Amino acid sequence: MKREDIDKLLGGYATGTLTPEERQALFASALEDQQLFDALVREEPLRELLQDPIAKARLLAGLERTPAPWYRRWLRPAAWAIPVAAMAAVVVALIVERPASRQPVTIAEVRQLRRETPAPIPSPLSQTLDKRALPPLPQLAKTQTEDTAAVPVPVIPPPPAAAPAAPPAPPPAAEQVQVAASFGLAQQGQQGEAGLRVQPAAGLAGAIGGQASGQDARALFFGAPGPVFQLNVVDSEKKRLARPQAAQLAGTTTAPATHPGVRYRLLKKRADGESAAVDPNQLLEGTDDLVLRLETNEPGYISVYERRPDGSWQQLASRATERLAIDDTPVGDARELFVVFTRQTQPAPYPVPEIPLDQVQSFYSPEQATYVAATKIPPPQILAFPITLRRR
Amino acid sequence: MTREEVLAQLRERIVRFAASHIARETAEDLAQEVLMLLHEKYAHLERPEDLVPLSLQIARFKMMSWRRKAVRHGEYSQVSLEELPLPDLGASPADAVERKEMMERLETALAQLGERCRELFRLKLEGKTFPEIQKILGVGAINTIYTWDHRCRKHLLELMGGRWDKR
Repeated sequence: MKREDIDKLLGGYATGTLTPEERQALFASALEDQQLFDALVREEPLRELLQDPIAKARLLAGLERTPAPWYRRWLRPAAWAIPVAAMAAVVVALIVERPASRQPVTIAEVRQLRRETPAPIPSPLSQTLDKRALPPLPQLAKTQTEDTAAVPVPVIPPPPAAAPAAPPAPPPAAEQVQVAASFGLAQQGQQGEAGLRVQPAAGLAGAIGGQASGQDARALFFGAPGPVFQLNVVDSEKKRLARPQAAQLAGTTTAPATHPGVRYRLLKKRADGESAAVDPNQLLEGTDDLVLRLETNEPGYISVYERRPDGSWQQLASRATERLAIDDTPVGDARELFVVFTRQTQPAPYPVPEIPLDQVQSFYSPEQATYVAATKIPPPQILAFPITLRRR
Repeated sequence: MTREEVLAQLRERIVRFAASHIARETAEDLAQEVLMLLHEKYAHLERPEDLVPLSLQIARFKMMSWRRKAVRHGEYSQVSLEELPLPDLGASPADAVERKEMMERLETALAQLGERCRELFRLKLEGKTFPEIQKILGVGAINTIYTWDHRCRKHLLELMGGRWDKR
């Protein structure tokens, strides 16, 4: 080893890692070279420090934590930044996707059923009624206004002379019935809505059979439900079955009705000689002379009976009649009457009273008329009902 | 080279080294003290590679003790050689503090070295000799390792302020 190379062994002296040859060469040179010897003396503090195992281990630990190269130092924040950026991207994606995820996925769609308003039941009567002339309502109203509160009932004009040949009285038109109804309500406020359809007296209904609440006698009388008020949107099965027949009736006014029916009014003579219809439930004087006006919805035979004081029945009238032909029968001061309407002539007087028949009866206040109709299917050949008058 | 020849050369080297720091007479007394210790306690050592390191260590401790005593008395020249204590190889509190400070400075300096110098120092601390380091690093010539280590040591010493300790 050259002399200039001996100095390079100083680094191994402090760490004690010189080979024996190196040590020999170094210290032999140090004995002869004062500078080398001085250098060795100056290396003594480091050699002494590195002889401590604890200090050596500490320095080794520091050296093993080698400083990262520049690119690693640059990548170190990137090593944090990349995952952080990825997490941020995921969070942003979740936030962005959240509203979309809230939107419900359409798996099955249940569409709301279209609600269709119930089609109005075509009333064949309305078409016919619109073409007809209005009944003499103004006359009724005029009469009512003249006869103010004395007798709160409309005045019925006297029957025409040729009653059977007269054209059948049509059912009231819509406007007419409405006016009449309002008129009736105004004049007879105590009747209220019942003015449109007054139930018969309990005893009377019971005598007929108690079916007044089920169907409208007036509708059955004309062969169809009331065309004006349309109170029954959903008809009963019987009415629905009866509708075609009513249409037939409306189309041809001369066609007979399916259900035999009778419309009757009780007329009372006033002081001026005019006749006025009275409510059958009205309390009458014991001496009031009454006239029973009957109209049937088809040709046939009609009979009127009166109960005598001894309980027997006396026939007051019995004759053939036509559809809607006015048939007046003076009943005097009778208290109980019995009406029989048959399609065929009866060989013998009708045995009254008999078991209740399938009939319905209703009082129609605008007309001050009471309708009685058979409800039985198939329609019977006979219609019989009592009339009980309330007298003082 | 006989033991007497080695001790004679050691006395000359120690006196010259000590004379550069302390008075010439004190330096000669210090060298004589080192040789007396080597003669009395280490008489079995004869080779230069054994006597030189031991004499360096004894001479350093003798000088440290002389400086401490001179500081206590306030003067250097009044300290007689007879009053200089024998070197205490045990760590005193002052030595511990100095070593701690030196340790911290060394760690800081090592951290500022280049990768090659740090690797060389690490391998030396692990007890690897220069030939072994040559093989580890795959260097063709051992002189390359010597040169690298010389430059690294010089750089490290500069980072430490020109000397390993503060004194």
